[in-house]
Amino acid sequence: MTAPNKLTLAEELVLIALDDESGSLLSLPPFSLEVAMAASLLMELELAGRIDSDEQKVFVISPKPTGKAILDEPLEEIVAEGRQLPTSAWLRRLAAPGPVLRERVIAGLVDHGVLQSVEKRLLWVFKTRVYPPTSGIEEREVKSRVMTLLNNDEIPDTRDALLVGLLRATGIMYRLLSSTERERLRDRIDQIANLEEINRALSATISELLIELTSASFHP
Amino acid sequence: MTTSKDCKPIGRLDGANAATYEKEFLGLLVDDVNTLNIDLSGLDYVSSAGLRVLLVAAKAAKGKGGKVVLSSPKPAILEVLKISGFDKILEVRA
Repeated sequence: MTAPNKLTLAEELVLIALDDESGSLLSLPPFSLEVAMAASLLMELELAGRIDSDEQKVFVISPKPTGKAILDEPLEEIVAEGRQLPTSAWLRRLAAPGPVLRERVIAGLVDHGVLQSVEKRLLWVFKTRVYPPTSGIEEREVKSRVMTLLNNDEIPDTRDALLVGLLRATGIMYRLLSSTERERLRDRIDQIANLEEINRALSATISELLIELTSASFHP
Repeated sequence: MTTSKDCKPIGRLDGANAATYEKEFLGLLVDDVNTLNIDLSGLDYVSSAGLRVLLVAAKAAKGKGGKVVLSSPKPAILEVLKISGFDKILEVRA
């Protein structure tokens, strides 16, 4: 089992979303990781030249499969849809299956030896599974790349800008930073993340879902 | 020392032609050329993939000590550049 040469955005997101020591997922706002995982698929499809987007819509550039099932399934869905829907609609639709996508990505990282799969017991009774990093090299590399980018004024490359958007939208970014760093780097994070339409749509969609959830809990 | 070249994309800049334009822009940033003046007056539409091409060119130019200057965008293109914050990272001459 060898680590893939280059991690996908979904894999990088999951690695950072897992607590280093416990191997459990960080506690994040409801839906945020699922919607961000869906966004990571759209991002990879854009980078693979299969789809493109603007403020109004996602549209198909090429229906040719990428050869990766995890991307070809949503690509087929977008091609079959016919209508050109906005990014936010696709985020909601692709996030609908819930944690399935995340579990699939984690399973891939376990297969490649990046994560370990460890069974634990909660309260000596309930079984649960955690995923501590095997060496932690990959996660440290991702974090280091992000921190370097935030702390300089370089023009980001596309993948890094997209990753910053994923980390911002899920709230993970702010957990990586001290309160002083959060204040100092807030504008830079927004500058980088907002370069990408999909990042802006992602943050907006998660905010909308949280408002809907709050509203539903007050008006069941 | 700044040596610049000019180019003028026409029509659409999107996922269908992004790779072609990226090759063209990067192909201009050779030898001592480190600044690209991109006249946007002929551009009617730019998508996410199109914006990324501009960013790739700007990163390459900055790496050589130069820059990308975007000039004369139509109002709709200027709006996209502002929404995405490109006007804060690149020089945009309306």
